[in-house]
Amino acid sequence: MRQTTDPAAARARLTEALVRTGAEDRAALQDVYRLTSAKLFGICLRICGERSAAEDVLHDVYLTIWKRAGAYEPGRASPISWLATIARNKAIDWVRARGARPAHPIEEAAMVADASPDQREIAERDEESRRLHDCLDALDERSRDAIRTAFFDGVTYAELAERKNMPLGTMKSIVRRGLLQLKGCVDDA
Amino acid sequence: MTPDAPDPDMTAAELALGLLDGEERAAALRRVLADPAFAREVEEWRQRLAGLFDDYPEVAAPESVAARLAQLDARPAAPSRPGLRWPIAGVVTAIAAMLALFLVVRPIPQAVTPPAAHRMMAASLVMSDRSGAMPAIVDMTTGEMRVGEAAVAPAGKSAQLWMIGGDGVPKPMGVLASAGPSRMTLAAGQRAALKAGITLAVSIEPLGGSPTGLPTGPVVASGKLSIA
Repeated sequence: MRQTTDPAAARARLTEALVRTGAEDRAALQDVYRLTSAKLFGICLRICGERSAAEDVLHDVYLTIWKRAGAYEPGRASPISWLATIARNKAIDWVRARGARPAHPIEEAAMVADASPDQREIAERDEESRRLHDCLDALDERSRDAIRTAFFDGVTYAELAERKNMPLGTMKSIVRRGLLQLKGCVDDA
Repeated sequence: MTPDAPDPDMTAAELALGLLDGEERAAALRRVLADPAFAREVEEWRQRLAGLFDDYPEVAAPESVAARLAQLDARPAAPSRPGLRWPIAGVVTAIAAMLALFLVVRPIPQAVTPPAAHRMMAASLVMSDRSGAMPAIVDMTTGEMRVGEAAVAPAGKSAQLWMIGGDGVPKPMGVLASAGPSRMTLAAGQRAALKAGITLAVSIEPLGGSPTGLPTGPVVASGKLSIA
């Protein structure tokens, strides 16, 4: 959502478009698309790892949004998180149904698990997101890296262990302890 | 880290992240339906981790997708375009289907694989008035079926679940609990008839279920079954 520098205004505009989409307003779906397609395509591309699949998944994501927007409850989740969750799940579905993923993610979807965010991205984080990032930064490197990779690439424990060249049990331990610490940190802050 | 201490139970977070597969995942999904506190925990994890969506880089979406969406049929249940290259139904949306916040409708699978090869099948039964949806999940190995809570039947009536296969004839699957999630065990014959793409529907019937063996009241929710 680059249309504005004010996250609250952007969120309000997206919520409004999503609620109108729920009332079967096709123009509103186009608004939702305009406001969110770059973010959702970034998610699909990152997880699917190939452009043509990501395009098909993106189309399916917006069809799902069209069908399900009526169930969106503005008070329960931020609109972009609700939409991003659908995109992430659809992309993971695609990858797992196919049974394998490309050996290397395409370059366009940069390795965000390791990337440092730029200042604009940091400035646009809301308070909850800042707290989560602070808490992730407080984890030991292996836990942080594993949790971020699991989230961004949508991989299972088995895939994670293979990628990091670790026994499955060790990987599970690292992730579980990291998640426990993360929960304590986020909830106490 | 104490090497000998057992790992903490982080199943809710693992399910929300999508780390689980196979039997572990199936067990966690069953727990979502059976245990509302666990379902809430999964939902809390989704919200706790949502800030990470900020870190996905934006990539300009292709014009072709916008063009396809512009041709969208006005009906809410617009089917996927036939050109959509979807493989058979996947897994993670089934997790989402368990969670009230993220109920999503699956695409109709293009290919049907014998159900015996898959442990779980799932459907999201969308309310006819679009007010929400109830998840349904079947363990194809044991025949155990669970349907999420949905107080759809008025007092003195029952909500009854049906399957509608290729012949278009509804076959009764069971009467849903009046409160809380429903559990039922499907007979081998019923299980054999379940495959991806068939419709599950809920109708309002006299208390105890339809006396005729066919739906007599309004259909209040329906959805397609897919491999989970």
